[in-house]
Amino acid sequence: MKNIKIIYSLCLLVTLSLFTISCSDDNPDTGVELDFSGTFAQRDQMGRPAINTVFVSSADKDVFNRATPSTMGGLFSQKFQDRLLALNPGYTTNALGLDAATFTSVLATDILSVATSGKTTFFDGTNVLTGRALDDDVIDVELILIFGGPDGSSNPGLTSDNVSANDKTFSSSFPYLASPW
Amino acid sequence: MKKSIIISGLFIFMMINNLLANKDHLVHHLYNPYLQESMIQEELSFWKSKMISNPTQVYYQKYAACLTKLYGVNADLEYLFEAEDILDMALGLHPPQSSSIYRSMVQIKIKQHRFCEALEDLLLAEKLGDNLNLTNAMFFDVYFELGKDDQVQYYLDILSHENDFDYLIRLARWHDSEGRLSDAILKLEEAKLMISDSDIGKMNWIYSNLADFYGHDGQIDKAFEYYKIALQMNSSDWYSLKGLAWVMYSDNRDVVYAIEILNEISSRYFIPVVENLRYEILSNFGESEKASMVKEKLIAKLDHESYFSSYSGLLFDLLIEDPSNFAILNNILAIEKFNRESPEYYAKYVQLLLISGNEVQARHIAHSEVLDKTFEPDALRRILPAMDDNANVYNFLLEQLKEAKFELGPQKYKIIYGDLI
Repeated sequence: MKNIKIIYSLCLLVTLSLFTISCSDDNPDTGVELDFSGTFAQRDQMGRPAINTVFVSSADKDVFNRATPSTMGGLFSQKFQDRLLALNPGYTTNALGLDAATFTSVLATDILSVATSGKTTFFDGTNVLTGRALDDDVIDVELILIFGGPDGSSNPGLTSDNVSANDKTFSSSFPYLASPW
Repeated sequence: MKKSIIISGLFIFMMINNLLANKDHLVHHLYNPYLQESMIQEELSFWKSKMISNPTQVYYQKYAACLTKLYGVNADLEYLFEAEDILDMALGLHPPQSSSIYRSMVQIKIKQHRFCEALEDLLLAEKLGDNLNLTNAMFFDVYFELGKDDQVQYYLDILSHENDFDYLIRLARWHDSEGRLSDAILKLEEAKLMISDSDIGKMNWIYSNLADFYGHDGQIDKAFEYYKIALQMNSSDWYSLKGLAWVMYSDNRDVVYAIEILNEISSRYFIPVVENLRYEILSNFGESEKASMVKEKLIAKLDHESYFSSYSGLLFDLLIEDPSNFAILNNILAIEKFNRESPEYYAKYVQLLLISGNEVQARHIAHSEVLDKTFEPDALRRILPAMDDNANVYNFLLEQLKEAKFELGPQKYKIIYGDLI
């Protein structure tokens, strides 16, 4: 019981483990000892930005957030497809050449894939979902794939959030993010 | 600016550690609310500017959350009123997609004891369906305050599936209300072990609440120790400071120190429950002139309808000392009945019936609505005078209240037992 810790998000899992790092005199070489003891429960998850927000209904949020990625496709592909076609009834294929069923089955498994070699990018015109760089305009990419049609030029008013960069310059050193204020 | 705040924060933390280690009574070095308040103000300004330049629901919510946090620091109800207005405006923008806005509203209403209205917001949150566990936890909180035991047990059962912190602290509350204080303490101690060491806010909360429980259980030294630990986590926690003052007063340890602590809180904020404790201590020690001044100031501050729901119990006790206040007492109870028709409400109603000479009805209501429905000493002491026709019940209540000596405090204990002590 002592070590039961509830993890509210995968991000928090990382944060928590950072806080529970303790110096160990027995291991002077490694310096730190990670404490992952206890019983963990998944309460939230996020892979690709905004996908959960846009495609999952309020009533489904808890189920989605607690689902393991391997079950997400089966549970949510159809619902995602219904939502996609409600948002864009004229959807045929998108710039990746994916029809509605294929595209939403990809989206429903809400993970952020990372290629272990090559360029890291959400989408740069050539590489697709090899990871996510901080300055990737992920929302525009998602809007183009949802509303932009086969060549990305359909519904021009809906394919950008008109925010082209972060409001503060990213740091050049770890953790690379800009301070919130 | 931020750096200096952090440095002074560290300094205060170290200073408190030293003070507590030495068990020094230099309370004015212990209480420093400036740090926390200025940090919340900074956050508030940030979200306010976001809200103004980009009026979306999420920024309204963030701003309202800061206002609610400020209320936590200084107990100024105006912050809650503004937070509610802000959330109303946010809800006016468009129907929300997340239930969190309703839960924020529920928090604001619970803090003002507007439990029936809070219930309406919870139903809207439940309908949206996201984060249902948080919504269910709040259903427990509201039904608990309303004294609806069947619903309380229903939601407790749902929450038990998680067996997490939110469940354990509520189970503790439920055990306490059943009169199972030892079990309540065990559950809170279990919940304490679930908190990450880095979650200072939650740690502060649980030590403070455990201190209350230990005090009620007669473990005064433990209560004292836990309040001090809570204060190490948050030096501006007036609730724990008041708890320390109560220990000093109720256990008759060091009343001068108790007043010193209250002075320290009052030098910064006007917190009604703190002033009420000052009034009680002064009255109990025969300082009637000073006590009257405190009482008058308190009544002047709280005698507005917008404050009645939050401070109905406190105002009721102050005003019932003068039977000519019957009309306003009636008004206060009408508001409490609307917000929370619970055994605690009926216990006050019994008192009101007694002072208006309606003993038969008082007795009837005490039997039907209070006895066997609550173990709260504060409710039992109110109905005690109505029970003087039944020696068995009267003596049973006397025994119950004797166990709550610390919780009741010397003054109420003296009123109950009079010559018996």
